[in-house]
Amino acid sequence: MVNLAHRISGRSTESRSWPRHLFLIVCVLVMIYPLLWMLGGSFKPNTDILSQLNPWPSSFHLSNYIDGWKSSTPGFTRYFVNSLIIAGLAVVGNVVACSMTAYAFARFQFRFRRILFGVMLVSIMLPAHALLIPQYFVYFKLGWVNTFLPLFVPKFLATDAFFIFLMVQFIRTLPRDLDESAEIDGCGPVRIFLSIIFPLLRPALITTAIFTFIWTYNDFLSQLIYLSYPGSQTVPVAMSGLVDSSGGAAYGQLLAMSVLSLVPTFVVFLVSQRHIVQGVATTGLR
Amino acid sequence: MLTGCGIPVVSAASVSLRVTSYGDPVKLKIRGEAVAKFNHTHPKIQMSYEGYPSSNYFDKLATQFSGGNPPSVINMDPVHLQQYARSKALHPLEEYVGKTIQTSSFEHNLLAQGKDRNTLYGLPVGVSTYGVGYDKTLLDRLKIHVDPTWTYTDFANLMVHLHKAQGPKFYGTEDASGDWASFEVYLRAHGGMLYRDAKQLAFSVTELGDWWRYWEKMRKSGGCVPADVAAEYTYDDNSGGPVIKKLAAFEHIYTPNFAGGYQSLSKDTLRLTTPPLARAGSKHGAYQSPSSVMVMSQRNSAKDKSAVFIDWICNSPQSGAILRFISGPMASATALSGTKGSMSTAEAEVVRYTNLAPRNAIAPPPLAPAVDSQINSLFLRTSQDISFGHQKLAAAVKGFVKQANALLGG
Repeated sequence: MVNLAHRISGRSTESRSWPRHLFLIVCVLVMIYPLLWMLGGSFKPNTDILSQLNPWPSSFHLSNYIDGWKSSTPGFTRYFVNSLIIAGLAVVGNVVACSMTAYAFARFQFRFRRILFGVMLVSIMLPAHALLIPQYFVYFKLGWVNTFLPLFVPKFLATDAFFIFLMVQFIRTLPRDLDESAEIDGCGPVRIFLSIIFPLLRPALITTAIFTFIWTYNDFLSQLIYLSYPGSQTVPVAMSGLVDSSGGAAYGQLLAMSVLSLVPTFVVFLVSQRHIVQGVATTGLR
Repeated sequence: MLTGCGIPVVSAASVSLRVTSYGDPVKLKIRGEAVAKFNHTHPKIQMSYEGYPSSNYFDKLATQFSGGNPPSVINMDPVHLQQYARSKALHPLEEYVGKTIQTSSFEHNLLAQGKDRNTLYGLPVGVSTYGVGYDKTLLDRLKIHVDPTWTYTDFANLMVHLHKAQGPKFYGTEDASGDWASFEVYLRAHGGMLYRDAKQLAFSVTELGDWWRYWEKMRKSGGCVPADVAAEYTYDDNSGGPVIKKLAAFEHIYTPNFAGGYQSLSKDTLRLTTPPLARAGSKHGAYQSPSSVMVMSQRNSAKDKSAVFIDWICNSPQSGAILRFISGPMASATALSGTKGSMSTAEAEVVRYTNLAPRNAIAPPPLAPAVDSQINSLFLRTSQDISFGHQKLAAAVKGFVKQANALLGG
């Protein structure tokens, strides 16, 4: 009897919730439409892409993928390798340097600590464009222009204040008792960092790694400014050339390469999805 | 480690001569082939080639100049030439003319547009011409013939006719009311010009009022696309324009954007014709300009060698044979002689129009002032204010003239 009542009540809840589900499905379709348009467009000939709203291609052509991959010399294999090398090194740099800096700010008392922390926070608000020319000048004098060095070496010097702030906030939530226990066991600051703080920082480190990867992988301006030779180009720079205001318009190839360029970010997101949620929850990142 | 991975980590400082260009991958690849050919035929001068997409090209160039690392030879559009020349970032080419650089094969009007204050800074590479593009397939179906002796009144009547013939969702043409270049073409057809001595506007409030009133009437009659449609695309953006989206039959097109851009995106056959005249028998306002020029940076350790390269790339049949029509027809007659062989239909149309347009044209204007791009943006904003009803036409005209003159320092 109770079961029957429960089933009837369940059914009535289901019947009441279908308009809500229908509404949500429509919302999802609206949100996913640009992605479907991009995916469908990548299989269409150039002349059909902008003249049709229907994302479904009338016939499937793989030529956009093949031609786009080889559209310029040396080709997208090299551009993907370049992008992944830069993004990978930036991740290592940020994870190592930002965690060490954050540890210093969160745990040590030193002269001008508050002022330095304030200066670091202010640097978050500085627009990147304001620093572009002075940075370029310095890197040129160092002979780093047209190398990957300006794109990842600064990460090893803890220049991403956002991630330092993120980790400082996280370390402050860790009980100091752990540090004190380690000290009693004879650990110095370096050992405490390596054996206690760094392992406990894992959610924040993963958040840092993921966001550094995505932001560096998608970065267009600095890669355009510092890399000049065709062999050193990266995916965003190469893709921007596929549709050009000076006349050429390979929209099909652009869409095909856009689909492929999403793969690394998508894989990173899939692999670390659980950790992103955990990291967001534990670091207060919004 | 990176070198071991085959990744270039060589500093640009180790290369003495660098040439830089912009464009889509096809153009960049072809220009790279031209540079390789030069290096092969000139073993004593080795140019290192850097090609970038057009978007942010000038941001990169500005950073390189400011950071003390400009390329030796730069492919630049004429719009930026004056700005760089007056900031003494470019080296004049005058001392090489008649020696390393031969200018006799360039048409006088084209060469003049590579000059600032009568000093030659840029040698034209290709020719760009403003034209009125149209969907020939559609017009043939409607049995409409485009007559290049049309006036602005004929043009407006034809556009309204097209709107009525094709239904309420189809319009005759783009809304060119906010396009500074189309306004210039209109002014020139009526005997006017944009700037006087690059210091003040050379047109009256009446002329500007007439232009915006013309397009206001077009919008009301359905002759041109409505304001909301016009706001969705950028002028000269071959992807978003109303002809490609099949919302209109006419749109202005520059010749370098025709073959690789507009025509490649449309199944219909597109054609180019001259813009309307002020009255029957008068001249049209379109003119030829260099699609780009080759300039030399002031911070250049090997200026003589750079001059040899500039002359070769702009002025040799070997270069013409490689570059062909990627930026419109070659500007130099000598280089043009190298563009033999078969042409696509779209390329043939560009050549046909490039030869046709100057026949009934007026001489080109002097180089625009450095604030031209700011005035251009102001013009677009003001025209959109009118088309969306945010400003009354008369007030908008006065406001525009006042602000533009302030930008010009008048």
